[in-house]
Amino acid sequence: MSYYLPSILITSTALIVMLQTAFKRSHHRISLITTVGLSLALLVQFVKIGDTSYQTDLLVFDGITTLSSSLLLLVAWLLSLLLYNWLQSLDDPKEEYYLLLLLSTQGALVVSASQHFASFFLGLELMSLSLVPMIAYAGNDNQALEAGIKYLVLSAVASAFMLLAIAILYLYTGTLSIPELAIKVPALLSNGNIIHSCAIILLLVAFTFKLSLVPCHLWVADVFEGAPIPTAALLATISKAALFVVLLRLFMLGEWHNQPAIIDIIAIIAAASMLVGNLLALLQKNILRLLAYSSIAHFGYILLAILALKSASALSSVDALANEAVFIYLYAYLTTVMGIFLILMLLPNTYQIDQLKGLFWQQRLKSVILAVLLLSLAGIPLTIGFIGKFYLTLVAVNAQLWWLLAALIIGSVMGLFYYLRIILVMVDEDGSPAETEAEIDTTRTELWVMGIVILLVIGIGVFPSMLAGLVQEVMGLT
Amino acid sequence: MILSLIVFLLLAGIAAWYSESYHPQAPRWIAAISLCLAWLPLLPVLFSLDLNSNQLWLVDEVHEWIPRFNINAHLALDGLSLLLVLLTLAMGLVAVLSAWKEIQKQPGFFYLNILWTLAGVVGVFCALDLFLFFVCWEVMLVPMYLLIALWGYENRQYAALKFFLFTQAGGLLILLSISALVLLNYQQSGQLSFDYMDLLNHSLSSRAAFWIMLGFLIGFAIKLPIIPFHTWLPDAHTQAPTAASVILAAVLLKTGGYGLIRFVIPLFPGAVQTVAPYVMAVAALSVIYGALMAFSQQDLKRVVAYSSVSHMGFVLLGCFALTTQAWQGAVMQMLAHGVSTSALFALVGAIQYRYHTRDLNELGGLWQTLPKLSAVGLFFVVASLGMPGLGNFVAEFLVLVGSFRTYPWLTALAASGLILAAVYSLMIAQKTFFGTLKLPAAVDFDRRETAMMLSMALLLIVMGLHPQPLLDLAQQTLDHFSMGVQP
Repeated sequence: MSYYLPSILITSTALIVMLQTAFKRSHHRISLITTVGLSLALLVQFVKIGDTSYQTDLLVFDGITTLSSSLLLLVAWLLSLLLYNWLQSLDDPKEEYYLLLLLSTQGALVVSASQHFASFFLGLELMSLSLVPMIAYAGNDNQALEAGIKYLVLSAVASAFMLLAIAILYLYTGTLSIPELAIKVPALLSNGNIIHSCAIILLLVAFTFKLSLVPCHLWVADVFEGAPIPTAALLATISKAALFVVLLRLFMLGEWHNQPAIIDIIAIIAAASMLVGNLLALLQKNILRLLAYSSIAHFGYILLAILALKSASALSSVDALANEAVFIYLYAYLTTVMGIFLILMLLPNTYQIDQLKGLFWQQRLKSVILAVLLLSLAGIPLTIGFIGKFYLTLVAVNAQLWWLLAALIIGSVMGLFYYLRIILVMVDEDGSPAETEAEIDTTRTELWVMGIVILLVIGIGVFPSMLAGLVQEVMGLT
Repeated sequence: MILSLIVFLLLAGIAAWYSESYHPQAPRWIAAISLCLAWLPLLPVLFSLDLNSNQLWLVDEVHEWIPRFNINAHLALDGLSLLLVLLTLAMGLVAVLSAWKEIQKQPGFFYLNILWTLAGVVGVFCALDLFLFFVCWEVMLVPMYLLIALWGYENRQYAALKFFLFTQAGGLLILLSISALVLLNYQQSGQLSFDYMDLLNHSLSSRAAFWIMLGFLIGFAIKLPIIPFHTWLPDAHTQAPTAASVILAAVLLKTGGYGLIRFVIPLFPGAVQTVAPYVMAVAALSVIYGALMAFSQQDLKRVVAYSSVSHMGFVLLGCFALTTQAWQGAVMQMLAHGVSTSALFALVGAIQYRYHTRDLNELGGLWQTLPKLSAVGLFFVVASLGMPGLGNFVAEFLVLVGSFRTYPWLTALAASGLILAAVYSLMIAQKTFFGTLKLPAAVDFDRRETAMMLSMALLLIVMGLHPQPLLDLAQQTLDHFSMGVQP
């Protein structure tokens, strides 16, 4: 029971929000309810973080689940803190946005805890379908509508691929439970029937779609550009992280590292994502497109940790280090990217990099934080991004993935180029300030949120032991 | 103690930034005073210095940092580190003084970046934990990047970006090598450690050692810089503000040489011997190429920048000759080059401040209006070409003597770099200080500039006439680590 508590809290918050909206619309109150609900869920999740051993047929609450749910809730909570002011500037009804946020968070929680394709698919659809209206939320914006439809169609296609894969697996094994499949599928694969390989390939295609990895990455930039900033933030963080956790689970349970074909495919996807993602981001003028492409690259990096799962050689007898690396990097990426989106929410109508010109001389605090976050994405020491990258290098060296490491280095240098480009634009004092008259006051909430983001990124970046210790403890690795 | 020194510099930087809102001139005073105060923790070490003792580490402190990977903030000072830390603090002060009037825009943030770079450099020179070393290595980059990008000259953004990308690529190679070294050592010894002292006893296969050594070597060679990785240097130097040029030349380049002496040679004695002939050839090429390029430049700062490439070639030459004399020479060269080249950059900065040009064709005849500046300039130009009696001569002589025994032909080739150095150095003197005056009169050195330049000149003379204490200090380090590689 207590394992479901965060989910129950989120769901009941969603119900309360729905009822409140039905009876009396009050943006302020609903915002408060949402934030309180998410805070409570986060708190409960965090208090119970060490409590990890419960499973049903559909859901499993192990170390991976608790860590990923805490991360997802943390990110959603951060977003909810700043949502009020941002939505206040919209003309449309605002209350439904909170409902959708809660539902997609709930979907992500279910996805990350699922160990059965039924629960997985339900969670996935709950998340994706809530995201569609959120993408098209700014109703009179054609670009947002286009992005919404694009996402709807493409995620439906990806879901279709996934369903087909699941159906094939069910046909041959008679089960949808992932642990049971993990036992039966390798035997099927080894007898060389091409149908089974097809099923795995279809599954991988669906995952690359949802994680926007190369070669199924083309939708991501358009959707990020068209979507409202908070939705883009959710797309970049929650929806990808939840899916990635499932991929990790599949990989571990299915012992895919014994399947050289799958390993090769994933390795190629990883290398291509690192290089193509960074290459496409290189000359982008729009920040959201840039972040979209860089997120392709980042999920390419993190695939390194999955690929490293196979070798249990140096640092420990189990896959401990690679697992730890996955979560440290996910934490690093999610907090940093969410921080960047939060700062973008505080800079109204800033989409082009050029609009940031001279920001450093006008809004010192925000631009310094944005610069720090960008450096964290680039993996410069004393930020959490560096710790993530350090973990990845360690596990990749440990697993001797030399070619992928070369791709990582080339990708990182390319990445540094475009992150620095943004910083250069910000400190460029020649540029005419975009809005000189609008020295926007920073409210107390905004200060708090920025403080928390800095604490999460720099604080943990300088003293990562706490986080590493927590991850180890929860995963039962110590 | 070293940690508190680093933290002190970081805090002083923040104080300098904040003080700007009280008075626009407060930051520079805070920077200058804090750089003087930074000597205080080092004084006990300096006073208790005993050159004849066998004690290697003058200071050795360990703070727990990331127990997960057994990473500690292990900071230590030996003779070599001490020399370089002193150089850093002294040249940091020179940088602050040379920026005294030049920087009007955002002085607080400027001095913050200066102090943070210096803090990072001190960390690099003292870190004995490879993870900490890497962190400091990167930490000194970001403020330096901002210094170039914000206060540089016309093409500053391009130069800053190039500087950062080159160094970062090298940095990632170093990170990769560190990871590989630590993990392979862990597989063999069962002990996970980033500590230099533990890693010294590694027993890697020669093939693994070779590749890891190569990663370190390229990373440090980019920083040094050595052809073909040198192209960032002329741009960065030319575009950087004077103070950043001074720091770049005086200490940032030295981190590359320090890395070679501290890490590459002691950690991989076998692999170093394998590559030594090739590296020596590249070093000799670098010496000559740098000198030739220096001669063909029009921009005064580019001349000095390329002369740095040439001089740093001697450092690499000295490191890989694998004889004690050559190592001594390499260390001396780092110190002497640090002083003489920063003086030259400060000088070019002073000329730029007065005439807003660095073009050799537009300058000329400065001796007639600026006798003090020109006299000092002539002194440092002569020092840079290796005049006996000054530090650079001692350094280059030792390098050449030390290398001649093992690589006579390459050494002879590199020695021709000395002649070329005379060519470009005298060209600077000729085109800048002598000839007909093409520019209007200007104000000569004031007391601040004179004092700064004269003390640097004094340093060079001391290094040239009485280098023994410095050599003794470095000798302890070199003796201790280099037993394995004596040919």
